[in-house]
Amino acid sequence: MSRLIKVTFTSTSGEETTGFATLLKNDIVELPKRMALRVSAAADAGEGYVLVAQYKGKAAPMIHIAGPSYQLDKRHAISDPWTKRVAESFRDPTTDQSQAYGRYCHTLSAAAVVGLVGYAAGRSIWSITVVLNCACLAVLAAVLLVTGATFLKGDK
Amino acid sequence: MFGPFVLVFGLGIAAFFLWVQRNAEREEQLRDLDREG
Repeated sequence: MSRLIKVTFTSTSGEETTGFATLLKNDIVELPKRMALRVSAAADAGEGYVLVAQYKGKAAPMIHIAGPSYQLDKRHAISDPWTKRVAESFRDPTTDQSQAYGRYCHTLSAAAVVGLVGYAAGRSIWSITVVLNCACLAVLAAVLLVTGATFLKGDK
Repeated sequence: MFGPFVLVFGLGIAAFFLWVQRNAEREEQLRDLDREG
């Protein structure tokens, strides 16, 4: 049974194309025709190029066998260190990460609302302090709701 | 009185996530400029 893996083609002319290729048995990758044409065009023009497959979270180089067939070089697969991945998740988050941040803000906002209701319901005597605490929780809930909404803007 | 402390803590979290979002938008703009050459 074959499956699809993500392949990125980058040439020295600055062209970068990402697509899906078929991963066959024995780690043989068969490029789609469109990408194979780009590779042959770059080779004919004398440009340097790199083909990298994303395999189990790592970037694995591909060794040319024949035509559109390549061998996945798992032994030389590399992945970014986790510190870099953490920094990247805040510097340039993916769509999924942005949505996760938005949901996190909404969860905190809901927690502030629940806290406000529970706190207010448990007070038998109202004072300036109680009102101030409630006001702080209400402001916090509103701010976090708006912050979360900006992360979850999506497509219109 | 816990309200102001919770509020400052939460506003800090919100400010951090707004900063993350600004980073993401700036990176997106840079990618757009790269694509347009």
